[in-house]
Amino acid sequence: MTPEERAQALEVARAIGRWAAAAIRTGPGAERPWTKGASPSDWVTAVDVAVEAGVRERLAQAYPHHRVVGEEGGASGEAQAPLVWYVDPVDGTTNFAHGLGWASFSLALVEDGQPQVGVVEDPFRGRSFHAVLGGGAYLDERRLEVAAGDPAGQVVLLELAGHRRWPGFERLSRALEDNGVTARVMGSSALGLAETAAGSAAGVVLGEFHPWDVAAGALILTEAQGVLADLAGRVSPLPERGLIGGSGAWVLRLHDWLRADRGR
Amino acid sequence: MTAAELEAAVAEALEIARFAAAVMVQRADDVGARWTKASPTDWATDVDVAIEAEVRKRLARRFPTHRCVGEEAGESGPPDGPTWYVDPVDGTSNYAAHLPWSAFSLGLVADGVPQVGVIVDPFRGEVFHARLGGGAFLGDRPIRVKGGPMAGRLVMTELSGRRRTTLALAQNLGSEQAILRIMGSAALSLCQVAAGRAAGVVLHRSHPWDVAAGALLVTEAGAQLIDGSGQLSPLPASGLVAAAPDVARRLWELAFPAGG
Repeated sequence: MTPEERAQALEVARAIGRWAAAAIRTGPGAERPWTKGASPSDWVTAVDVAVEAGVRERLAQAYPHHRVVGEEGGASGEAQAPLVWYVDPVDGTTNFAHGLGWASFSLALVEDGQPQVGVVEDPFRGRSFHAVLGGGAYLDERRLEVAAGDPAGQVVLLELAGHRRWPGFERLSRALEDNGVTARVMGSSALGLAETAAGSAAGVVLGEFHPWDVAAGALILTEAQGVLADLAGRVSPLPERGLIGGSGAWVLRLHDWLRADRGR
Repeated sequence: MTAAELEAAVAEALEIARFAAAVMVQRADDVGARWTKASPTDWATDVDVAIEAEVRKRLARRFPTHRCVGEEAGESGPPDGPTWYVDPVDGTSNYAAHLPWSAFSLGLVADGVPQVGVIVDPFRGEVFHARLGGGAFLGDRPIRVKGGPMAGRLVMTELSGRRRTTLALAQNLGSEQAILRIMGSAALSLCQVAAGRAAGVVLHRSHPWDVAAGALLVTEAGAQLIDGSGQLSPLPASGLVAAAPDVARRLWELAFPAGG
């Protein structure tokens, strides 16, 4: 994509984000949620379904040849299309489905594994995080930069895999506490990445996710001078097998804590 | 306390809470100085101190016979009156880091029983309040706890400084297919249970200013409150479990497996 195409795509994505945030904020909320498949922790609401349909409609108008992959409606558009939009209509659906106001809307455009444009909306607080490749990351009008500094007293955001702990969760939790770092498990991966980009958390560690959860937040974080790696420590713009995010120093530190055999 | 006294206390507490919430929002991007107290994770900011001082002043003016105990500046007022517990910013680690999940909490306790409780989430703009015997409210809407199986539902906890308890809870909740959250504000965790959003809350450690308001809120919303040793209590001092009556005991077993 050219910088001009990216800038245009960001405008499209931000307009869709504003619409989606309003739809989530003013919609029927957590009325009668249901669960998918066998897992009791994989929730869906009518809002997820309606917002994703609205996003697909708007993207099809603006970019009829792009592929769209969403959490609820799967993939649509040309299978070989080089440009793919990833949409998570409500990231943190378990929170949202129960009325707990920590959830987000996430939309990203990805080309060959590299996010180009990312928008994460916090509908409950009216905040909009966004980034374009090479153009920096913003919370509303404020330019973002990841936090650096000493570990003690900082916050690191972890997520469970549904209701389960993933391998390494417990080891990392112990290491965080040993180093005076406060762990949080808040329930939205996209907001976890965005808050880390904003420096509100020093780092974010995810054990399990889908591309629509993290594609937008990943770009926002890297455009805020952050680094992303998978759990094996391989740096990547869009990790697939676990994710560690933060400043370069924090990613190294968190990766060390994750893999250290602490023998307990 | 008489019904009229309680009404007056609720009205004043709500007014104070709106003031405090406005200050929290206004100063969210500029919290002034911040420092740690007992441990590297125990933060205070200029905003905590400023809000608490103003709350104390307003309470002393309006209720000169009442005592006030705050997180930052300790105790003031007559030693044996009804006691206001104020947490100017509950979830200061989040607040100091600009992570928008924290609360103002103010509770009035007489003879060990919470009488009035007000909690505000300034960033979502939610005001919770309760009066002993008068029900629990979000804004002006009555709220109730939600019972039923814990599978697929949220259980809130906060770090206690004793990690074995938190990690054991994570494991035990996983086996019930309940979903753990550690958000960073005990007061807001109690609000989520009172509003039926979370199945329960577990605190392995708390201070009265964290939980005095929230304890009344969950009780008035129909929850059972159990302390760490397994006793029902209107204001648990050592360990706390709150949940709908049909699951509170089970949650206590998962949270305090050694019997507290």
